[in-house]
Amino acid sequence: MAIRRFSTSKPGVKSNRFWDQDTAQGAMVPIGVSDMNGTTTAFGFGSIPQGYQDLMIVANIRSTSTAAAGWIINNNNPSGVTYGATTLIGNGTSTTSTRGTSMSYGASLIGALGTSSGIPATMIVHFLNYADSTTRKTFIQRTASDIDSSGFTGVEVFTTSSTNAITDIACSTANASIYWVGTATLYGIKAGA
Amino acid sequence: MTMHHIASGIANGSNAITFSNIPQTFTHLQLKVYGRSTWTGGSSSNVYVTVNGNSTTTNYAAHALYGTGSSAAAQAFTSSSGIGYYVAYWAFPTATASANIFGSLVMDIFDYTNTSKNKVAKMLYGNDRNGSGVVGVGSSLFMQTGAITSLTIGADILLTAGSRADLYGITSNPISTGA
Repeated sequence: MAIRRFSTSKPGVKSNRFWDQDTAQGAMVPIGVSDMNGTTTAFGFGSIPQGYQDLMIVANIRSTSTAAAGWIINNNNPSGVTYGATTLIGNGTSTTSTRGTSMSYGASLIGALGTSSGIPATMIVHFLNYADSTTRKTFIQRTASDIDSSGFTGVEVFTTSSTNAITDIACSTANASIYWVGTATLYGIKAGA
Repeated sequence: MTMHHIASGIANGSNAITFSNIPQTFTHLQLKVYGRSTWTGGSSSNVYVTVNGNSTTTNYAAHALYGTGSSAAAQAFTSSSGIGYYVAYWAFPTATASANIFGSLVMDIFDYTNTSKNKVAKMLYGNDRNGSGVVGVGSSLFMQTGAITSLTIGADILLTAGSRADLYGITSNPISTGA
């Protein structure tokens, strides 16, 4: 049976295309997609179903600015939630590892994506055990951004200070002049039938 | 290509998680582990995965490229290192970390049913402890050509309660047929 899609009434910047998980085959189920055409300042997924074991975002995007941007979980609820991050990056000439501590959002590699027209970066982000409400939420990201004579490849792990289940994931920035181009898809990963 | 859930295991701090009788009908395997180790000897812990119950040290090798937040480094284990399992180097937080902090490991094992090749795993892993932590990519080699029929997570170092492992099979069939 083909995968069916239906619209959600959730307003704002969230994805407005969702698939019917019951008709998708296999353990990897597309939940939503966000298409960005250069006028989007934030993208993400809300009202995330809690019936999967893990989540995964696959993004093929670029930004219009190198300004910092990052992941925001649950609209930063509860108030005061912070993010720690550890990165490993190779840029063609050197490898570096950096750290962010008690950040207001999960920033770093995302803000460094290429800005060249027609050259998107690729990101895969794993949110393991996202619906659990007893452990602090952690997610891990693999990013590839090659722009011929520049670019990088890297990995990054984040941990939030909140144990709340993840119901909303957004990528945003404090810099309103940054815009996104490309597509991001959220998948749910089933464990069990 | 489709992904199918094979089995899940829940850790309790006392026993390893074993996936046995792994179906031989898939093309690849993906193992996802969400965990924290019981070890107290340091701040980050290796994650060990034994293949087919085989802990012969000379059968395994491993490499890691990792970052600690202040430096990037590499680590290698050879068949002479005495490891006896796949190694995700410094992948998880230990019992010394703040409460409720866990790590993530995604391990891919390609062509696991092939009986003419040694078995290589590739890994993405990390744990951040808001001020410390490790993120990395790794590979591990199991120098036996038999098909993989079992995986044991937690050899030598166990995972605490709240940890879990999920095993998936990846098919190369068209999506219309599934596994």
